[in-house]
Formats: sequence, C-alpha cells, structure tokens
Amino acid sequence: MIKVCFSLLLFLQMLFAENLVVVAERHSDIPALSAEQVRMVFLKKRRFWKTLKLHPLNLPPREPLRQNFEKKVLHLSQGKLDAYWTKEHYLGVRPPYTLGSVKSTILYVKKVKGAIGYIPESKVDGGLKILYRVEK
Amino acid sequence: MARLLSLFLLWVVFFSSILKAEDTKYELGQGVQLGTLPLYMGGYFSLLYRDTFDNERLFELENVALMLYGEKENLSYMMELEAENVYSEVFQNEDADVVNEHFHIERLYLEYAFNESYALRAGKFNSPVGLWNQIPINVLRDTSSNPMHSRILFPQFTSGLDVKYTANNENEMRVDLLLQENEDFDNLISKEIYNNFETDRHYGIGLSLTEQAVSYRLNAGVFRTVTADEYYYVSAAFLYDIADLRLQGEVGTQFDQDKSTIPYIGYIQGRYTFEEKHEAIVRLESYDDRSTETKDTFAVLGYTYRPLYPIALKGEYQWHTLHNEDRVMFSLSILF
Repeated sequence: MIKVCFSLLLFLQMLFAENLVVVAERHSDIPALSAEQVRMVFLKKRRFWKTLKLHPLNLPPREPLRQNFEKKVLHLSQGKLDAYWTKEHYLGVRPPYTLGSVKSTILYVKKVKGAIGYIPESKVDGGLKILYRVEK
Repeated sequence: MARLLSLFLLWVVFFSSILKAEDTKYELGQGVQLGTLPLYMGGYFSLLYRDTFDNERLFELENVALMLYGEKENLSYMMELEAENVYSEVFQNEDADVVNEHFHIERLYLEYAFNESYALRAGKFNSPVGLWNQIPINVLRDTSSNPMHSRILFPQFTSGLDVKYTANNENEMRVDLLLQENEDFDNLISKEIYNNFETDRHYGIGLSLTEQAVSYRLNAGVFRTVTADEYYYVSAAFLYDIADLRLQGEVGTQFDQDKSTIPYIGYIQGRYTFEEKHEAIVRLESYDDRSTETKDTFAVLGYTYRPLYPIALKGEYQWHTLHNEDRVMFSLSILF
C-alpha cells in the first residue's frame, strides 16, 4: 500500500513538475547557453564569460530542484559528484555557492553581476534573463 | 617525531576550533573556510604497509600535508606544505627506521585569469603532464603505488610559470606552456629540492582535449638537472570514462642529446566500480630505463574501498618480471 501511494505521489509530482530555467540578471551580457555550457559553468570548468567572473549558485543538496538539475544537466550521480568536488578541493576549486531557497537565488542573481542560478520557470520575473531551459 | 605530533595536534585543535566558532557544517574532503576570509584549509595523510617478501617489510606514515587556498576575483592562490616519509618502521632492521618531520613546499602559487581564455600561474605546482600527475596524492589516486610513468619520465613539479589557454569549446581544449629557469621553490624554506628530479630548468608544452567520454593529453618538454644533464620527454595519454568503467593509459619516451635514456615507458589501467564504494583495478606497466639499466614489465591488481569518497582503504599486489620486486601493499588515506 505504501509503495502504491509513493508511486502515485511520484507520478503526480512528475505530472505537475514544471520546467527548470537557468537565469542571470536582466542586463547580463551572457547570451543563451547550450546544455554543455551550463554544465561547464556549474562544474566550474568555465569560470569566466569573456572578462566577467561567473558565480554559479546551488540550492541545498536535498532540494528536489537541485537533484533534478544535477541529473538532467550535469549528468552525474551523487557519488560521481562527490568524487568530482573532492578532487577539485585538492586542486583548489570550490563547489558553487549554496543558497537556502529559490527566493534567495533570485535576489542574489539580481544583485550580483555574473551570478547564475536555476529556478522553476514560474518564478521568472522581469528582472531576470533566461539563459537555458531544462525541459521537464 | 614529537615536534610533528605537536604540530598535528595543534592543527586538529585549530581545525576543531574553527568548526566550533563558526558553527560550520563541515563535510569531510571539502576543507573549511577560515572565518569569512576567501581562504580554505584542508589537508591529508596516508599510512602505508609494504611487503617485498625477501627484501623488506615496512610500515610508513607516507605523508602529512596541509593546504591553504582560495580565490578573490581574478586571482587564485594555493599553498601546500607536505612532510614525506614522516615515520618508517622497517621490520627486523631497526637501523633502517626513519623519522622525517621536515615540511616541504609541495605547491605554492598564484594564478591570475585575464579572461575566459588566458590565465597565468606563477610558483610551484604539479607539472601538468599526463593524467596521473594531476592528482597524485594517495587518497585520490586509484592505487597505493604510482605508475613508473609519473615517477621517472618528467619532473613531477615545476617551479616557474604555466601560461594556460582554454578554448571553452565543446571539446574542452586546453594548452599549457611551462617555463622554469630557476631551482625548485622548496629552496626557500629547506635549502633542498623537493622533486623527483633536481631541476633548474624545465620547458614544456601540453595539449588536452575531451571528446564526450574520451580525453586525450599530449606533452613534450625538456628539463635540466642541477648537475647539468638535459633530458627531453614526450608523453601521450588517454582516458575513457563511462558509467562504472574507467580505462586509461599513458606512454612516453625520454632521451638526451646523445641517446635514448628511456626508450619506452607506459601503462594501461582499467578501474571497475563493481559496487558502490568498491573498486577493482588492473594495471599493466612496462618500461626500459637505460640510466639505471632497469627493464621491467609488471602487473598490478588492486582493490579500493571508500566508505566515504575522501577515505580510501587500498590493497594491491604486484607481479614483476624482475626478480625480488613482487610486493603487496596496503594503505589508509584521508583527505580533510
């Protein structure tokens, strides 16, 4: 019975899940990005856009939005991501800065030049520019 | 030894006090931020047991290291101090026991990124040659032992400049230009050269490319030792990484102005994660080192258990074609 309820919940979540979008502030010079470019930015393999320093932002590890993003954009399992960031620590590179909520991400993106975050598409307002859309 | 132990305890107390003071949520293998400064601290150590059967049986605190690093706008910085072979106990031969509590400069550099394509690194750093040498510490490498390719072909460290070019294209193309015209930076604190070769010159060039699951790396260079011997090297590497399987190989050659000093050296290795946290490794190595008149071909069979990624418990067995070189090794290593 529990399994059935859990499966139903998952199904409903999938049904009503919305698109994820990667955003920067409205006047940002960063153009629309490809999936590979977004991946490079969030793995800190690409740290500048021309001369602009990029600041990718993460949500907390257990946040479903982050898990969805990591699965669909980074294409890395949790184990591989742990291994990746442990190696980067040795190389002197930190993971993306983690913020506590979508609301904080939006505020940070609007305030800091070069900041890039991912949020549900329904939260996009006039102060943001969509760089990449992750279809559900 | 007592001084080293005191330093280690001091480091543990310092580390704990930072965590407590800042109420930081610490994650093993990710280091810790010093207050609100753009500075992070981490470190690692490794313990090794090695039995070469008829020859030697030893237990060793292989290395202890402290890292400080960070970045501010376009500038990033790294300092790593390491004590190597800190304590060795050779069984049935107490005279061979070693205590070495001296810290060396393993890495010390500043890097300035001019834009998305160009960056300049100045200081002492791991030579960006091949694959293994990029992340050579016990806890992050696949086996307790290092392949001979990363030990005798080129200088593991460069004390000078690395001019980097990154294409930011789909195949992640990167070019490194190495320039060294001075002695090892460890001279600054120890009057020693902390490197596999005692170099005072190193020029090199490297190209790396990634095509989906496959990465390639090509390197060529020339280095001079403090005894004025000059060597040229060429190295090629590939890495194929997909799901639970990773295959990699590196080959190279070294020569001086008159003759070939290492006509060939290389290895091929497969790593398979057969269950989460459990890895099996098979490596085949072969080399011909004319300077020491050593020619060997050997196989390494290893197993690694990682309860958490920054903790590695490893075992390996080596079969050599050379007599008396077979060995078994076990290690425990942790990255903080």
